[in-house]
Amino acid sequence: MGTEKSAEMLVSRRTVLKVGAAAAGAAAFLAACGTSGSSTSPSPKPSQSDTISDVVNVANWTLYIDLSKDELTRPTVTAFEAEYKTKVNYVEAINDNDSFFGTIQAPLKAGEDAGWDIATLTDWMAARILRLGWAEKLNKGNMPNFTANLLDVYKGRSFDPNVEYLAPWSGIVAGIAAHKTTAGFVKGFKDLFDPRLKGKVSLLTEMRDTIGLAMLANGDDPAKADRASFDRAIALIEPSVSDGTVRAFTGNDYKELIVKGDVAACVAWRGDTVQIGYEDADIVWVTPTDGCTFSSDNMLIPLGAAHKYTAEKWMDWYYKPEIAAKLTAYVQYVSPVKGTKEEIAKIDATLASDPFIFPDAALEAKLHVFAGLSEDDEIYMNDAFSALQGN
Amino acid sequence: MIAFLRRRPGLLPLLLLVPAITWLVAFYVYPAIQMLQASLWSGTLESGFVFSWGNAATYSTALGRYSDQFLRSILYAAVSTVVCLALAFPLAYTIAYRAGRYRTLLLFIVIAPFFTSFLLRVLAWKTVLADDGFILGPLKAIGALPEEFRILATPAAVIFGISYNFFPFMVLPIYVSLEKIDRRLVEAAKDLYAGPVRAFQRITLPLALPGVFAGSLLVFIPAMGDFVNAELLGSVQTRLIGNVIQSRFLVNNDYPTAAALSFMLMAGILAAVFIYARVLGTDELETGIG
Repeated sequence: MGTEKSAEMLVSRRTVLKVGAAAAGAAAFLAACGTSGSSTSPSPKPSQSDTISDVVNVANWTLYIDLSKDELTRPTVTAFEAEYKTKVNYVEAINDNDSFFGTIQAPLKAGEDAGWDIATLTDWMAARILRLGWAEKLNKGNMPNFTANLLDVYKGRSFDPNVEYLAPWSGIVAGIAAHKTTAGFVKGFKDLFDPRLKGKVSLLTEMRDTIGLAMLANGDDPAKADRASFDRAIALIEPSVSDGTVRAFTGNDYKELIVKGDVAACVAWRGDTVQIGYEDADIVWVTPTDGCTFSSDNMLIPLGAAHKYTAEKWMDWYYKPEIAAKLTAYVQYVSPVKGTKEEIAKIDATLASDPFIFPDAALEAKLHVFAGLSEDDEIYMNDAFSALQGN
Repeated sequence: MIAFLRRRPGLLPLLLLVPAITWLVAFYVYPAIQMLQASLWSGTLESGFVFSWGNAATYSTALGRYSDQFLRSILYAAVSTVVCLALAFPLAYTIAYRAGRYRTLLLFIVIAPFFTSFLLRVLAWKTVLADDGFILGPLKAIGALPEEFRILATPAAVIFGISYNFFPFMVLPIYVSLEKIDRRLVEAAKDLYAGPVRAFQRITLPLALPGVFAGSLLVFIPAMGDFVNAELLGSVQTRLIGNVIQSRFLVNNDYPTAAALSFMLMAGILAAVFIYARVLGTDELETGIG
């Protein structure tokens, strides 16, 4: 009962954040409107001293950190605080990329500190931040573990080819979460639109995951996404939105809906689903028959962050294999850190052979990355995707 | 200073207005001008926005594309206002005339929800009204409701949420105007052989109208711009113009459309208030607005 209650509280706080962030973003927009109509890159502040600050402000997604048994503390965060004699202001401030971007873009545009020393953003949003010149360049001299242990597959990515700005937090597989009893028949994306699930389905507001899965169901390759395959994906989903089969589009807050039973099956992230399963064993992960989408969330230091050095130490902390193993054993996302597999075997041998944490060839064949988009295409797709959601 | 004002007594009212005008200019006029400017931008977040009067077409495009959400906002706000009025008038009447020593307690109960955050109240309803929550769950279990019945993610839930949240804004003004009515007028009406219904129609109701008017505005105006109730209690089919503005600003980074919609929303509310004042408005309000 105790755990249930604290989980409820977490849920409320998350949704509060979601709407609160929208309000704060609107206010920030008003504040920044007058500064300039064009997107200018402000010059970074002079470099800060290499000392640990009293506090470091970390923005991350929900269900993305290890919790103690009583769910009151976050062991790897507490260990960081003890190691560096600092305080981590760890906030689950990100419900989806767009709404979080809305809250930080005004100060960043005005060349001001956005209040976060670390923001954890998905590839495409991280790429946008880098294009806008809104991230601090990492001083890798402060980050020996990161330099040594970043998996090679994350080196040479088009948006950060020399790994100068981004430290991957985890790899994310998107697929389906379903109630065993009410939605046990769901095997693929199209099954979400079965009449038996009317009003009991939610999709993600994360366009690349929802549309990516629809593309796969249509036999299109998300890696080659263009306007035509995008339109086909919208056409697949739209009738089920109009007739009310799809109840909601959500960020991370789908957890609340499926746990309460308002939703029977939804597009979900794999690690979340494992964690939701800790609470309600009836909720299970389904690897869609047509395949999954794959992306990564990346830590970055927003331009002008007040505590850059401590932020670099924070990033580096999670590249220690034993810390990465503790985190990964709990959140069960794909670890970007070399040596995690060996360390995690000491915690739980079955995890070391779990393909969703350390993808094997069979699973890799099912994972699909969404194409990089031009700004024009991105606007076109976001616009139609908003319209799909009634906006 | 005081001697100066004695010589020019006309300046005193102006001086008293300074704080309010400063407030309005800083937090309303200045942002509104910026909003107007943003509505006439064209461009994108990454390539930058450029101002031109020629971008005025944004307004007609936005209105055409989002007319459904506009009309829905008007409809939901109007229905919520009527629901609030229908529930609030009898309550305010009871508190003003029949509550006796419980009057303070009842007033406290009306404003008690304000001690909790607006968001938490809406989220609480999300739990209370959940498909298998503690209200609908048992009713479905005994077969009183079909299994697929739900309240959340329907227009009724959104209207309910808006009505619930703005209800005190209707009760309090009506209570105040009822409470200050001189009851001797009603007695006089009865002396002149008016029955209770007629006395209510001719004395109480007309004198309570300023309260009804103020309450309706206090409910209708925020309800028009609401997006929280629609976001948390509604579905894709219940999106209001507030949701669109929020999404245009923060998801699509389409500041011009968002700003244009905000402007049209303000204009629409002003127009609605003006018409309402003409139709129902009391003398003082009419001279104030018209």
